[in-house]
Amino acid sequence: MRDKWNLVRTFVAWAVVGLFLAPIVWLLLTSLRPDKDLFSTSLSITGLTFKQYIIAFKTYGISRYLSNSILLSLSVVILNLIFGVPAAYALSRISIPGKSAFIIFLMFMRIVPIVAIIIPLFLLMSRVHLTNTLISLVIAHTAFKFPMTIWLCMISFLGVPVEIEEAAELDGASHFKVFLVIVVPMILPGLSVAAIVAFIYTWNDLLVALILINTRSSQTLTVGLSYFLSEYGIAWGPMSAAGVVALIPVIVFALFAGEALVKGLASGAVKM
Amino acid sequence: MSRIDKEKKVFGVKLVMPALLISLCVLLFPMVYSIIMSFFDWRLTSPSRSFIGFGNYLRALSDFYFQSAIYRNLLFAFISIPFQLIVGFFVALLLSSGIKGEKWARILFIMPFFTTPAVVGFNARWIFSSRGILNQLSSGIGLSQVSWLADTNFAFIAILIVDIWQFTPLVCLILLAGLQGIPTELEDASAVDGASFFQRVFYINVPLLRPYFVLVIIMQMISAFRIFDVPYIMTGGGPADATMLASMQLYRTAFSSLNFGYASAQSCIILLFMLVISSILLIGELRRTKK
Repeated sequence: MRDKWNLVRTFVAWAVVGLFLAPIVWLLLTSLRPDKDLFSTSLSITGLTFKQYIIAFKTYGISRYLSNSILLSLSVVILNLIFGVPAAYALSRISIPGKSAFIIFLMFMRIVPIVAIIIPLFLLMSRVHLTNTLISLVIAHTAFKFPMTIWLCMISFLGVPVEIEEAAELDGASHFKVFLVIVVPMILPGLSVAAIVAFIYTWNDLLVALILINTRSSQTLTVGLSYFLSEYGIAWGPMSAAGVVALIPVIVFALFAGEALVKGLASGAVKM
Repeated sequence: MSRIDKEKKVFGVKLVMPALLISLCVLLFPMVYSIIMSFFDWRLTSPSRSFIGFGNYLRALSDFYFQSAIYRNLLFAFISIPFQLIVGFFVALLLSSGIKGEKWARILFIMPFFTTPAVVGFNARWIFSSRGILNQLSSGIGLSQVSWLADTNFAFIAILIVDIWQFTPLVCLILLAGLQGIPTELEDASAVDGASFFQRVFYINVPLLRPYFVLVIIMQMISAFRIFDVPYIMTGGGPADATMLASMQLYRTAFSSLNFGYASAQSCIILLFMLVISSILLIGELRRTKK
């Protein structure tokens, strides 16, 4: 009796999972189909080809956008860790003047729609002659990720018992040494979550890159998808291929760290 | 203050300084600039910027397009969020009930939430197109074809479907995290006492998950008013503004009408609106837990 219900639940659960994965699978299938088969509804996997990918890379030159996206996302993650982790440590441990104000400001920035600040940001960038450069994207995205990174790391730091630091300081270690050598290694799981979240949100961005960058060669992959539109319509085949390429890092991260990510985001938020 | 404390404070300030400076330049300055500019008549089309006080705000409050966008967004949220909650909760229950391959099911189920919205948008255009898979399937079983993205009602439904698709997994996994925090003794004890499955769910799980439900509702309300990429790519706000949501309306005011002051005022209104809603929900929840 028990087993029967378990089988029903298993079936229903996997049916729902399958339903939710269907659009992604369909995208993958479309990207592997030659042009003549693009609109067919059969699920057959005969006649699959990588031709669409070749067209996407050779004719539409997406490797440029791909490398821009990779460079951008990695830089943002590194900068976020370098600047955000120490800030999170200081905000969670030390009483600094203006601490609450800064924390409240960071929380506030998570609610603000980016559209609201993108125009002044664009004007700021053009004043310092940085528009159309990847650098402007790196700076903007690093700042936009601070609220999330600092919040996640603060939660992790608050979970580290103060006694450990005090013991180390009694042994004569400097503040910085205690921070870097003792405390940071202890929040490695939280750090990974913060890093991956920063990467994914930067990788996925559309609006910021759309506004801050005008020249195609500096554009990210996300915006690059729109270059498959022309006056002749949409080149669905190569675009699906480009879409799959864009999804690869995201899927890899989701597969390996997905649950940890959601747990980190959820438990942190509830604690607040 | 002892010398050690002072020394520690200096250390702390040094740690925070880089992030603080970057935030001031890239986050605070544009935000303040935007708020100040909302009180001016600031357009890209003319170099003059005259102070007009609350002019932009008053105009927004009687602006048909702005109001419709907000009502539309509210409708969007009020349909999408319950769906996400119900389906998410249902799946969370399933995924914590000891089914086969549970771990893999959870890992795979989270996919839609992390997928690049731009890809989701274009893929949705592909799937909902007149020759796309949905129409081909429905004509295959005898239903008439639907011009999804060209029809005002169906386009709205289409963006709803995609939104529910993308966020239900997130809601599900958050609720799942909450469910896993419920001590099994509670569930076992109630089962021994003769409670049926449904009684257990409604009288134990749901109340204990309350903070998670509130969290999800607040998160998704805020998210609903920030959503841009997917509807923008799917429909661009059309047809005839049927899918013009709040942030897309802001975008249009700023980049089509090129009226930056007005757009800033509109975004301030939306911001205030979201702050009010979040506060109401939060305070309501805090009051309940105090009881």
